[in-house]
Formats: sequence, structure tokens, C-alpha cells
Amino acid sequence: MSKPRIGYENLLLDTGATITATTGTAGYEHANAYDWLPATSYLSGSSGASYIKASFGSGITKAASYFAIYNHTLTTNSGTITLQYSSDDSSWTSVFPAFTPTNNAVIYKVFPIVSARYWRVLITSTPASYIGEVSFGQDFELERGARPGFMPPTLARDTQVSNSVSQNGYFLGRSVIRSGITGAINLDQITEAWAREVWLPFIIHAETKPFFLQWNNVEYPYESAFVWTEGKIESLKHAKRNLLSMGIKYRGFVE
Amino acid sequence: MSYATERERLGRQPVTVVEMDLDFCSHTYGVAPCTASVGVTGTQKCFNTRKTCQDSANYDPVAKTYRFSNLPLPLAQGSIASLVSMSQAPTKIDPGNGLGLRASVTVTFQDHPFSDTFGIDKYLADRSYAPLGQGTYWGKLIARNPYYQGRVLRIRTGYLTDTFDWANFESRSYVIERIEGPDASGRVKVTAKDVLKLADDKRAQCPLASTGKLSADITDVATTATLVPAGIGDEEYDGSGYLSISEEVCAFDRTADVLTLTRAQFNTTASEHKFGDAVQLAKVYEDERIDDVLYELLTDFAAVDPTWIDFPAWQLEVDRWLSSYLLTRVIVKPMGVNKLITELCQSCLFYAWWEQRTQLIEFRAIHPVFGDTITDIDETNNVIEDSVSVTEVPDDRVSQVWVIYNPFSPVADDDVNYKQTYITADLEKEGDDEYGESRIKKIMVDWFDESNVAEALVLGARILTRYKDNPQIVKITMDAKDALVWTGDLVYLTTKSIQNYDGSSPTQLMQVLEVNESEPGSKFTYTLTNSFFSGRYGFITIDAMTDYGSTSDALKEINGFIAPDSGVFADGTLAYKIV
Repeated sequence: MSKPRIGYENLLLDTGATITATTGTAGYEHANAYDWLPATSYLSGSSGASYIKASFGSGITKAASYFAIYNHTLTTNSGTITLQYSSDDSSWTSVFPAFTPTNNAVIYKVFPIVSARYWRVLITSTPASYIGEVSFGQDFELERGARPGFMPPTLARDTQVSNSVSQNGYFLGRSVIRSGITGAINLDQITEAWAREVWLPFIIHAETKPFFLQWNNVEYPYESAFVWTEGKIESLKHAKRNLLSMGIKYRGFVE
Repeated sequence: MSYATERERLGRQPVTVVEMDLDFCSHTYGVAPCTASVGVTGTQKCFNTRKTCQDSANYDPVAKTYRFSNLPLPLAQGSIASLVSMSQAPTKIDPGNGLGLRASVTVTFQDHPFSDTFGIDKYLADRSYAPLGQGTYWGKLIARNPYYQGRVLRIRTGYLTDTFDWANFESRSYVIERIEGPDASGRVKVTAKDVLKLADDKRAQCPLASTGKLSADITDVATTATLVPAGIGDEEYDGSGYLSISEEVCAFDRTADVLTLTRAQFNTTASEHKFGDAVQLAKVYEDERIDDVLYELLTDFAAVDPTWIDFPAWQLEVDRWLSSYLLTRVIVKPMGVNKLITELCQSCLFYAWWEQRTQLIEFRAIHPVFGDTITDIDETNNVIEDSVSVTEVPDDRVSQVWVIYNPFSPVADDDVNYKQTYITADLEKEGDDEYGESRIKKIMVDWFDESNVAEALVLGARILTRYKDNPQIVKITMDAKDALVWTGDLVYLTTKSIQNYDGSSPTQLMQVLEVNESEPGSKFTYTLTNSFFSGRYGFITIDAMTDYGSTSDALKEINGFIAPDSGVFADGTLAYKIV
């Protein structure tokens, strides 16, 4: 079984990136697609192909190993999306074939790491589709696998309901008040080096922003989540043999 | 799909949407007719609001809708899911006693950083700062939009479905009263009231205050007077009508600032008046229908939008039930519109309220059941467990009703100013075997003259019938599937909490006074009270009507039949009552 993966780096937010895009509709600017706020979205001004592109300076390349998207209308509009890279801003290579999401599930694609000067998200959709949140860059996998007690996001449904039962005991109705997922990532016996090099930059991001989570890329590649931490983020604690442990609780959506 | 079908669906997913319509200039900064220019009229472009406008002469506000929800909506709806809670104080009708309680709503939001997208900042690309990293959504919104009072706020409660559809929502409109926050925890509260708030006494007066004064002393027989300041006559006064000076009412004709007076009208006394005495226009109603008076008070004096009134429906209601009420009233000084309407409701057996769902001011006469859809409610199929409470309101009980009417003078307002009194009493109820005390309700009716004897009689009788025993207030909660029942509706309620002598539960005709969406989209709490009318009523029928036993149920609903002495018909149904 593969280890859970976390994607939080987004090259569209890289400080060295120059972002350009097909002109969006007023109120639905391209920056909305990578602001980590799924309620705001990008809508290209015209139907057909549109893109959001990150360009880095001469001689600078940036690496990516994952692509994730959450909250969109591609399925409804039969639109496609892909991630492409280029060394000359002219000839583009798709990291994976353009595809149409079959439902609203969070998509988290992993691919062999690629470095390039130019990256772009290419969307083809008529009518134009809304893109809530898209992210790509280098992700990481946990140093150890899922620990006992870990709940796959898809199975970690946290649904609050309200039942109506009559005075005489009849079932009258039910409302779903809120749905989503809740879970936890518990780390145990991780090395100090990994904690400093990989975990710490991530947790600094997670203190303020959501992230993407995929728990088993091999057996359940379509079970991913868009999540954010809940409650206090505990500090890493020394356990046995100079190894560390900690855990974070999260809440989010799988669809 | 529709709201009606979705609310009955198992697993429905309720969602609450709040929309605020705030002013937003239709022009573009620096583009004609807007003459604003960065570096000349300001240091940065405006935010298309009045407060930030740099060319107020060309400011052209249109409504911009800001949308929020308690759950994420599809992206195309441009909604921010920052709504934390909604607290409603619904309209509460008070048949026979006035306008009841105005509806209000308080919505609480969680503040957050925001990128100023959704067209909130039309010049986002021109800013020298990153809006996501500077300030918060509500902090910026309040700073840019301080003139929010009186703007429309809509609550749209409904259900999420696979394909989003506004047909699955119901909408209620209010006007924004205040915005508080953000507080230390980033919470913002917006309070809004229903549109009848516009009739509040401190906002709406009838007649409008006149500011003209006498230019000189006049004797008690003078027939001309001049208004000052110069020009005030054409500004504020009609060409003819009635006015008051001190305690005297005069008829007048006017040319510019000069008045020709007919002194001592409506039983007032001609007297001398001094330079500088106020000359107040009077409002006079003579033999006017209730619907006409109410419409004028709301639209002319309370700034209520006529589109919020279905006047033909009002006229129909008055034609059927209240056509004999022809009202006469001389209002010599500005009075609160709310007070005047309350007096009308108390005198004329009708009630009015803002119905948020239809977004109309509803008007209904207090009348027997006639063509009403009456829903059966019981504890098996409708009432949610542990939600029933029954209380009595002994303070509302009355044993005598004194209708005191036909005022002698419009400038006095004490008990002895009325020419006629009609007393209706139930002395049995005052006996030691029953309540053992008299409870007198006095109703001063300034709107009736000597021709309104019949209306005074009916008023006393109806109030006494309704309140001769302690009124009951029943509270129940029902599932959304039953939410078709709404304010003002009649229901047949059967509950174990109200019993007959033998312990059985009677089915009672009750009226819905108030509906509170206690769990939005899921549960509704109802406040009910006994209907004014219990029993069976029908109109006098045509000569050719068939006998009761041969008549269809539909005709029996409308028409009255004479029952045998036993008080029941051969089929066991109750006899009709006469009102």
C-alpha cells in the first residue's frame, strides 16, 4: 500500500512566477482559481480553450509531481482539463491526457516529477466552465504509511442530520444539515530530518490554508480530499530513539 | 422540482441564502459622464459606492447583490459561505388588536480575508495592493457602504439538489436596519426589519407637518389670513381643504399665501389667533372605505411601495366583508401612521401584516370560515414530539365591551368627547359561579360617526364572543413537509393537550398567529390561537335552493340552511350560526 500524499505547493502562487491567463469574466478572475478559497472561481470569458499559465525567468525551471482540482463545472459542461509544460512557451507537452471529470470528486493526479520553465492549466469547455481551485507543484508522501486508526477520507463522512418524529412516534422527515468529512493524520516514528525538511514547510502552509490529500495513490487513486486543519496544531514530540510523533485533525470535502 | 416538493423529500438538504442589495454606481471611473481622475479627484480609483465616489454629481446607483450562504452553493451563484446563523422574529398577527409584531431577522456572518472578486471591486487589476492580504470582507464592505440603511435584504431558504434551482427556494424581503461588527472574533451581525417598519410612528405621520404660520393676529370672525414665510402656501398647502389653528378647524381656499377661511368647522369654536400661530393642514376622511384609507396611509404617508400591495385583493375582501364600513375622521395634527392603522384594525375587524413569502402587505377581514383551505393537524402525522404547549391568557378575557364612538370634536381626545357608546356584556360570565368579576374593554373609535351604529354593534359582539373566555395560545412544531400552513391560516388542531370533559381530544378551529422557521428548511414552530369563529356559517341562499339533504357538499359550504329545533340536521351535521 502506498503512503498518504499531501499536495500544498502551488506553482501558480510561486513568488517567482508571472501569471497570465485567458481573460476571465469580471468577478471571476483567474486568480480566484488558486486563492485556496473554493467559493471563488475562474470563468474564462469565452467558451473553448482557455488557460492559466505560470512563466518563470530565463534559466529557471520549477518541478511538479502532482495536479489537483476541486469544485468545478467541467463535468456538467463536458469540458476537459490537463496540465502542460514547455521550455519555450510554444511547444507544449501534456503531463497527462486531457480528461473530463466524471463527477464532482476531488481529483489528485500524481505523475513522475517534471521540471520546466513554463507551466499551464489548459481547459477546453463550451460553455465556459467555472474552476474553483486548482493546484500543481511538488507534493510529498508521509514518511511512514497510514497509522492504525486512520480513516480514508471517502469513508470518513461526517454528516449532521435532523430528524422529525411526531408526538405519537411516526417518522415525518429528515434533513441533511451539513455534510463533509473529518479525519486525522497521525505521524509516528518520523525522523528529525524529514520533520524539518518536509513536514515543517507543509505545516506552516496548513496553519493558514487548505491543502489536498490523497491517502492511497495505488489502490484508490480517486479517493482524494480538499481539507483544512481543525483545532490546535500540536507540536512534534520526541518519542523513542529520537523519533518524533504528532497528529493533526482535518475537515473538508471529497466531492 | 419546486420548494413544495423538495421540502417533503427525505434527505432534503436545507440551505439558507442571504442577499443584500447595496448601491453600486453604474458608471466606470473616469469614463464619461464620470469625470473622476486619479491624482486629481483622488489618490486611487473609487469602489463604485457613494462614500468613495469622486464625482458625486454623476453618481448613478443601481442595486448590486451581495450573496452569502450557510453551505457552499454552485460556483455560478457567486455566494460566500460565511453565514453562521440566522435568527428570526417572525411577523405576529393580532386580529382585532392592531398591526401585531413586525418581523425582523438577524443574520450573523464570519468575517474573512477576501480578494474583492465577484465584481465587488471593479478596478481590481488597478490596485496597488493585494486585497486578499489587506483587511477583511466585512471591514471593507462597511467602510465602502456606510449608507446601507433601508436597502433590501432577502432571506432565501430552500434546498440543494443535484441541479441547483432557485425554484427550490422561498424568498422573504426585509429592509436593513443596522450592521454591527466585525467584533473581536470576526463576527458581523446584520439586522433587518419588515417593510411595515416604514409605517412606524417616528418615521411616518399623517397629515404631514405644516410649517406655515400666521403673518398677523386674526379675530374670531376674520375670514382671511396670510401665511408666512412667503411662498410657503404653494410649497406645502393644497388649494382648498381643512386646516387647524390652535383648537379651531377651518375650511379654506388658498391663493398663493392668502387663505380664505370658513371658521369653526367640525364642532370646534372660532377664536382669536396670534401672529406666528402654526397653521396645520388637516386630513379629512368622509365616508371612505377601509381599503382606500389604509392604502393612502401606507403609500402616501409611510412611503410604502405600491407594488407591495395587491390592492384588487384588498378591494375584494372589503367588498365581501367590510363594505358597510364607511369611515369618517378629521385628523388635525400629525399622528403616527402606525397608531392610525392600529386604531383602524381595532375598530373595523380586519388585520394587516407583511407577508414575507409573498412580499405583499396582506389584508384580511375577521370573518367566518368561507372558502378557506383548512389543514388538519394532529399528533400522529404532523406535530413533532414534545413540542406542544398550551397556555391561557386570562388577562385578555373580557366580559363587557364598550364601543365609544362618534367624536364630538376632532381636537379633543378624552372619554367625554364622544357622542355615542354601545355596550355589549355577558353578565353570566361575571357571576360568582363563573369568573366572578367584570372585565371591561373600552374601544374608542374615532373613525365612526352616527351612521356607524351597526358596525359598533358588530364590533362589540365579535370582541366579546372572542374574548369572553380565556383565550388559548398553542405552540407546536411541525416538519417542513407541513410548512404550507402559514401566518393567518386556519387549521383544525387535535392534540391530547386539549381535552373534552370525557378526556377525548376535540378538533379545534385555530388560527396561525406566527410561524418561526426554527430550523431553517427542516422545522417550523407555530403559534396558534382560537379562531374568532367556531361553528358553521353560510350566506343566505336563493329562493330556489334545494333542501339541505338534497344539496351538494360544495353548496352546503357556502349557503346557510335552517336546521330543525334539535340544532342538528338529519345527517348529524351542526346547524348554521348567524353573525
